[in-house]
Amino acid sequence: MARKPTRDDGGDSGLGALGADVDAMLLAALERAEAEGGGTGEEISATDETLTTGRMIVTYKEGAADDGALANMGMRTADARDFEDGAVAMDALGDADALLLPEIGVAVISGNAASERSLGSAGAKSLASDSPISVIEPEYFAFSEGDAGEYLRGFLRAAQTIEADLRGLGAPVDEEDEEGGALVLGATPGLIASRVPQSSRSGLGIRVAVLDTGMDLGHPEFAGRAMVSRSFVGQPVQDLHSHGTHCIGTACGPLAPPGNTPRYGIAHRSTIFVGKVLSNSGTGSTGGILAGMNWAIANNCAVISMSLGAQTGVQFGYVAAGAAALARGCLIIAAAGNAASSTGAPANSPSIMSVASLDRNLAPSSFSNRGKIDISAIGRDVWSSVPRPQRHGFKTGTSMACPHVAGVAALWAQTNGSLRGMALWQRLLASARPLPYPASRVGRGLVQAP
Amino acid sequence: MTEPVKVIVTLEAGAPGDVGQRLADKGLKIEAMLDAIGIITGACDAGDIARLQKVDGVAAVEHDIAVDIGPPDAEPS
Repeated sequence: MARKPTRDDGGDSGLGALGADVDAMLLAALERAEAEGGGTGEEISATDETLTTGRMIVTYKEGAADDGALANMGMRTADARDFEDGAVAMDALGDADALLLPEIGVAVISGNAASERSLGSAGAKSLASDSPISVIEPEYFAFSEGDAGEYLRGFLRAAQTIEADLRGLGAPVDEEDEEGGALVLGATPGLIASRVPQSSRSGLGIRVAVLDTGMDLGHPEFAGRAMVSRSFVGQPVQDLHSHGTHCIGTACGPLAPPGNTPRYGIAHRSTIFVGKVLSNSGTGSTGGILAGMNWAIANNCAVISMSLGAQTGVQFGYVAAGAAALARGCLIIAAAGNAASSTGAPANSPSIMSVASLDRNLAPSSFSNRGKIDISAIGRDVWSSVPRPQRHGFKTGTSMACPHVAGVAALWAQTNGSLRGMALWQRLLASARPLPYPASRVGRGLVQAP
Repeated sequence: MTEPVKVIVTLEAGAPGDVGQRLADKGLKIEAMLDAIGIITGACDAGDIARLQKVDGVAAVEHDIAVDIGPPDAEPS
């Protein structure tokens, strides 16, 4: 269910509230834009800097603490340090008017609290010279590279820093390793770059949905694997294209394929949910894809991999589906797209993790889309399973990078039952290996296995 | 009458339980009710989209669009 509050709910639980979901605020922003006669309401320009969330951002003077400045304005304040894991538990903020982020000298104020006190963008001028506050500005949505886009990314980083502090150096709280060492010699470059062979995790007990062209259900290297399948395109699940079988191979393929074949699969003991949402010609439509997402979420798949897209602006439907997934502990991971242009839908949704492609030298692939990128993985010349009789083959694209992140997400999900939804998202970003390229190309960097 | 088009109807949280029926009354031929994500898919005359958008509990009505896997890996192996 789209988590848009009803229009008549009045209080601080509404739009612009600290706990408001990004999608809810997005919908409100679109309504505002429509009311102002701009836009069709169907697309959001990635460069539209007029898209404000309704909340305000307070930046403190360097070295200054809040010292009750907001409380003196009559605001109920919450402090990020008070949260157990520092996660962006925005929906747990209750009726607070402001959230303090002391680590970065910033506070976020709800729309209502700001408007009640006339804290518009000009509000800074009315601040007393001895106020610890440097400036008060509107908060913007983050879709793309640029100043506004850096904010949410920075916010996430801040939350992760806080989390790391609370946990002590951010060491993952791993449960007992019951599966023993699993060092496998001979793995594909994509697995090696993401440190998959060194991981003892297998994805056991984790449901991984791959929404694509289906699967070669008789592929010998998947014999005996727990697999649930369903078609949403009016064709049998059996993959007559090869794209789906390739993506499933990377995310969920075997630990040790026979013969001289290197290891190409990551979550080798995960339960595979095969959702055929693209036909054997590799095409589909939003409706069938949303039906597949609905199925995977209803089945509580902790990880949902989508190597598909369209070069359009943000789509309401995907934003709502991504938010619903996160609310149910599911993480949707999508390929950014291969147009060497702005990230397409659904990966451009703020509630869906966007994956860019890297070449084997860890440079961004030339074709890989840019802008709203969260993380990256190898996507060039990826070796994985394809339908019989070939059984294996190379493919290239963000489509191939995406299941690397999905497989690694399943390994992380296995380490700790609390790593679901947004917590899993944050762990993937916090553990990524930084790369010397802009975030608009590689996000937080190269995905790393636990 | 205009050309029938496929549409994606995203519902608001707490949308009334009969929103599907009321969309149908306004001309939506329902294809699927996707309860886990709060979306109804279906088809309608292009001229009915504005009316569907006004139904209580509807957050957005969008056109269903074609999706693919995109080059460079679009070719079957």
